[in-house]
Amino acid sequence: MKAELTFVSARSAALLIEDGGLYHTLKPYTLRLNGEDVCQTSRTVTSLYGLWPDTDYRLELLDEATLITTLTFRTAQESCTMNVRRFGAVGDGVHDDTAAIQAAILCCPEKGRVLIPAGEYRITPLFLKSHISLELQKGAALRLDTDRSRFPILPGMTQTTDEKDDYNLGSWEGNPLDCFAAAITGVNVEDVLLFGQGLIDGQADKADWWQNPKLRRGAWRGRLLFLNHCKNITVQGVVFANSPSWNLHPYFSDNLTFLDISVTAPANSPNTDGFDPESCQNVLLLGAHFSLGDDCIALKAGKIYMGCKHKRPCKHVRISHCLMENGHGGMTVGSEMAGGVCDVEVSDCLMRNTDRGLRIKTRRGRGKDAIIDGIVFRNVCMESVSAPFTVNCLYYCDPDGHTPWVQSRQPEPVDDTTPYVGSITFQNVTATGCGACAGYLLGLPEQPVERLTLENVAFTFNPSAKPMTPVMADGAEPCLNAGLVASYVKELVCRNVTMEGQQGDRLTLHQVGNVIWEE
Amino acid sequence: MDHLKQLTERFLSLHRGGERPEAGVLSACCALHAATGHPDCLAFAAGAMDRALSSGDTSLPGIQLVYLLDATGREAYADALHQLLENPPAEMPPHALPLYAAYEMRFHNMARIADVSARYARLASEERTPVETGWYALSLLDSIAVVNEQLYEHYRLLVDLFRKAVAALIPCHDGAASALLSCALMKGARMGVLNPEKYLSMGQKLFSALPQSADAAYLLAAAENLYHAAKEEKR
Repeated sequence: MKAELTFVSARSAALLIEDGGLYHTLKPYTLRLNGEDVCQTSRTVTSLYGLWPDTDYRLELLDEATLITTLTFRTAQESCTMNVRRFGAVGDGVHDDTAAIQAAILCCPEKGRVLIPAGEYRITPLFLKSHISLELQKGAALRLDTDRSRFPILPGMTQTTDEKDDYNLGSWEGNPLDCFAAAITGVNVEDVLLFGQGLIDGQADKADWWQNPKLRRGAWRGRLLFLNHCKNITVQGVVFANSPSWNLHPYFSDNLTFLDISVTAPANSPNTDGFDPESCQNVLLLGAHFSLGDDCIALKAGKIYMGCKHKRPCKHVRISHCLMENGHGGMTVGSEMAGGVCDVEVSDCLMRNTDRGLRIKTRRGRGKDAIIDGIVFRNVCMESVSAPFTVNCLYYCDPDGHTPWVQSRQPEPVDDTTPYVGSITFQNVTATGCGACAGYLLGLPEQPVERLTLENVAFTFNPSAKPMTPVMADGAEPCLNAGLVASYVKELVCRNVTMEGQQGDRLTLHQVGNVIWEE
Repeated sequence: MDHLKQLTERFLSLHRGGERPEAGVLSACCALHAATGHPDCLAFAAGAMDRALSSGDTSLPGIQLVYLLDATGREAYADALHQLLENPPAEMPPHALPLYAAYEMRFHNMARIADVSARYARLASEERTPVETGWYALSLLDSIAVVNEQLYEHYRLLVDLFRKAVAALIPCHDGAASALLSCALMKGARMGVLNPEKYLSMGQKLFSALPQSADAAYLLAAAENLYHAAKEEKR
């Protein structure tokens, strides 16, 4: 049993309790701060709020009456608090509080805090500034306007004055296209903390963002948080709901920490991915909860233009102690991954009722820099996940997704447009109540998946599950309780893999090179 | 607008009764119809297209075939598109590439947009006179207008080729090439492909220095200039 403070700021802290639990601890604990009981927690990642800056704290962790451990820490300094009410924000749900909150942000000194106290704040998109924190206190809700005509647009590409390059602001599904600004947008900002127990509500359920979602109307749909070329950003505790499209979209940004956040959207809402870092490096996602209408997490690296131009992979990503529910994929890579995605570890997570656990999607046309490698799932539990892992290299996305070139099962030439899937590893994974299959891999005939390794993996099946088509590729059929189905894979290694209740063979293989099966 | 109307009528009278008009003439007709709504322009273009199609002429028209389909709704134009482009020929002149792009976007699920951009890329390396470069640049703009920006790598290739063509044309324009360049600059600025702050005024200055004429290149530029003049009037 281990406990450590993973984060301390001027006004908050985050505690990680590792007692073998995943998103929840195995038992409840009491937290006592400077001698006073502050809360009971059953979460492996627990946030503490309402701390005072530049102050020493003693945090005790108790199991009933027994002291488990004591941690001491000192909060960071803070220069000043800018309460948005003093800038004229009303917080009555009627008044447009955008100007007041934006003024507070722009006027906030370095190491200062913009404070949004409890209240209903109607806003249009807000923009961050470097070296500040922004606190949404408990009961504070930022409600995004439902009229897109009031939103600024981020131009996709603007040619530089010397006409030698472009300046990229907007992005849509991996291309540098005009998009509406997010509820909170950061462009070239650094050293920012967005935290608190408040809510950012995109109100897309009350607007028209989810109608005709594939049509560009004015610009492409915005997000709730868009970070463009930012660094050293932390987001703690905030609840994100009802985004027009993807919820959190860090883009070409580095050194990002997301702790104890919650992201929700209705199950039938289009493209409401939870957390989509794109071409980002050094990303930590700890103690997050997702329940929404598309992939919970999707690691991205652009489509071929951006991938080829910048060659910037999404890499060094750690996802831990999270709960992914109800989405299409628990942790997805792609389909926009033209810059590559590598060195990703998902550990101590619980996936529940998602269509898929690990979901890798790519296609011809993503380019030769589209390299997926070093993906590891370790100590992950999947409950009622229909297909625990899928790899689809014939994903029928984009306007030309169903064309013969993208969908052909005949080998095409390996060239500058061909993606590569390297090493994928599952260790200590239990998947109970599987529906469609244990796993479904569909590589490219001309560039098969390099290696899938399963070690200490146990699959059990739900005979009452509904059939599901495990991958979105032309010709893929629905499955029910199938074992591991693999096509166009170089090496499949299974050590201590058990399957109970599958229908048919545990392995259905087509053009799989080397198979190692050890009991 | 009155000047333009007079020039249009002179243009039509020059070309009426002719054999198969050049692609540039049809292009000017359709542009004038789009800019002015002059019904005779549409009638002239439709008549010329009908004669070409019924004569069994298999050489490819320009994107005016799609313009006529949209303006008139005639099935015959859709049938002609399928006949001409279900199996596109190995070589296509620049004026026909926007038609190919439009066909792919509208009727063929974008299956061969990569071929469209590859053909333009091959043409880019060919030697051309300034006038030919001008028509090539306008052809690129017509394709840029129809290719879905979400196929960004192809869309962007066309944009980059257009910008290069304009850059090559600016120092060496003369005569008809000047009219084509002014049209390309004004239309490129209007479409956001060129920086309007720099290139719109350049195009408008160039246009205002041109002698009035009833030739296709001038009328294309005049039609384009009308968009910007109308915008100025609204201000």
